[in-house]
Amino acid sequence: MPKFFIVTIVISLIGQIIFSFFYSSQILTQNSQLNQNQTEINQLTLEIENLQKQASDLSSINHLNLSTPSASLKFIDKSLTIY
Amino acid sequence: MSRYKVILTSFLICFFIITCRLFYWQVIKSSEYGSKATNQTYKMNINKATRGQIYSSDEFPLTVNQTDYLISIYKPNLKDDLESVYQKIDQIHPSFIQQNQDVLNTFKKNDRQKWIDLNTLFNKTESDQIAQIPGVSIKQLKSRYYPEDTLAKNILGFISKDSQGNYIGYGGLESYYNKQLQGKTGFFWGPQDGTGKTILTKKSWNLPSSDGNNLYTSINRGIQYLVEKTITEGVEKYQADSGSVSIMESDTGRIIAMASISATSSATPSASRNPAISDLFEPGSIFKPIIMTMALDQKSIDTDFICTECSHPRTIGEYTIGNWDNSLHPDSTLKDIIKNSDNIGMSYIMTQLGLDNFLKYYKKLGLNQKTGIDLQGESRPTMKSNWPEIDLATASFGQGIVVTQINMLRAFNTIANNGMLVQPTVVDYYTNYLNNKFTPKRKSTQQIFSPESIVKMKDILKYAVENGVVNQFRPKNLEVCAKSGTAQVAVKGSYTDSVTIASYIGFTPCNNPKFTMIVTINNPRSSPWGSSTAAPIWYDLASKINRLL
Repeated sequence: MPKFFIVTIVISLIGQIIFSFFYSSQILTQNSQLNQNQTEINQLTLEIENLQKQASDLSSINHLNLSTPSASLKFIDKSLTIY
Repeated sequence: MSRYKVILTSFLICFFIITCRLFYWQVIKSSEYGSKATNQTYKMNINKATRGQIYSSDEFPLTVNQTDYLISIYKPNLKDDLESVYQKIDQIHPSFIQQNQDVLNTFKKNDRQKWIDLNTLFNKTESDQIAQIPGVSIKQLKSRYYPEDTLAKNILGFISKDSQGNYIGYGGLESYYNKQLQGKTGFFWGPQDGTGKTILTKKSWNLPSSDGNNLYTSINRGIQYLVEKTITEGVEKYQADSGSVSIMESDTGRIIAMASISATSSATPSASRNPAISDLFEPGSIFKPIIMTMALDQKSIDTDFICTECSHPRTIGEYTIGNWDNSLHPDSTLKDIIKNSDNIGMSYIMTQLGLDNFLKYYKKLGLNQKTGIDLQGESRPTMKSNWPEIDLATASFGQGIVVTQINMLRAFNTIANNGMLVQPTVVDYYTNYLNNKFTPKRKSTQQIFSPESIVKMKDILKYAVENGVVNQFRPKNLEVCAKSGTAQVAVKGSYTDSVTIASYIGFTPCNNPKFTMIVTINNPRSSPWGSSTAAPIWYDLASKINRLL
């Protein structure tokens, strides 16, 4: 009888250790994935911000003014009506 | 046996002491140590919301969020000498040493100073390179970037830190819509391991941040640019102190453009102040059409009115009312009175209208209160309670009363908009982080004048433009209903001819107008008259804007 108990206890201990090992390894993987995703989101947010800034810069009237001599800019005073 | 007893007793005493100690820690001090343990493993992370952006009518971002980077140097962690670290940073960001010369020299010489924060802003690429230098740490700094530089700065306002270090808006839209723009801060409170990574298995609390709303305005950036350029040139040309222009869509009250410029850059209004909504002024003759519309609507006069008393100046008590050029226009009709900007004729129309009716319309037009425009910093015009006869007479030509430019534009726009008073607005709608669309609450429009009296008034204004001195500036194909004004400015309690506010207000075309525009020029030195300073600017802008709308 005592032998049976001892064997049962030893087997359940080993089982628990194996279960914990796999379970914690899964948690570690998930944690590391979460962390990686978070870093990636932050980087992408910054990249989007930067691209928005560049796009708006290039299509601004301010940019047009700085890149083109004002003397060559003329107000369009002709209009075309298409029927 | 006695040795056994001694050992047993010692063990028992030790066991008792340990039990007491455990009881002390686990029962008596349980809550204190429990919270200490939680604090060590649980960590609070604040997720700041991204501030909403502001767009022009063509959905171009007038503000963009950007992240800059600040650096700090910690001497004990440096692997190279300080001078070579400076050189490395200077290679990445040219002029770094030049910008921080004094601070860097002091830091280098002072051995007791271990740490320094520098104010130079670096971009992402630069900060990535600098982060590789041992002893240099990087900090993010969120800020606003304006792709159109200073365009519409009086409308946009700016953001800065408050006393608690949070970014808030000052002036213009940034302040008025601060709550909508700033969004909601989120937080995460949960267990973290030694490296700061979240432990998923334990209980945690997470409230995600919600980004601020994006504002979509009615500001046409092409027209705004044109307005700022033209008013700047106008202020310079007419040697004025400053100038303002506001343009409103006649039937809706949407603001298309609004700009204020000063002759000297040091006096140019800051982004937190918008003279078009905050500065009070006496409108002068541009107020005459409003008084005349009141009288026509009240049926105090009709189009057959003849000013039989206009052959001589009018005397009220010790005061004499004359015309701006000291001329007299006997038997003037309503058209003549507006065309000649006749103060004498207007004073008699005001007498016909009477104080009670004048005040009734004045209040209906909202001239004694804020317009409710969605911009921070609007001033409330003051209104006197005592109206002697002379004050009522001078009010007929816009002297002795004060309004803001936006007040005046809104009131005059009722003539353009068939007698309907609209609320001026800048923001058309805003979208939240889920891209849902919301429209800000607006006051409903009110019918102030009857359409019949408006038809009469438009006819008078059109006649005055086409037969007045300003007609030389009007392009042939442009139908305009407008009025010029030259208001004297009260200096130390009395009016002076040397300082004036020249203005021009009107709309085009007269029927179903596209826009109503006001131009005011403060203290023009080349000519004091609105008809020769503000009017040319108005027509120059109107002919161009007409094609853009």
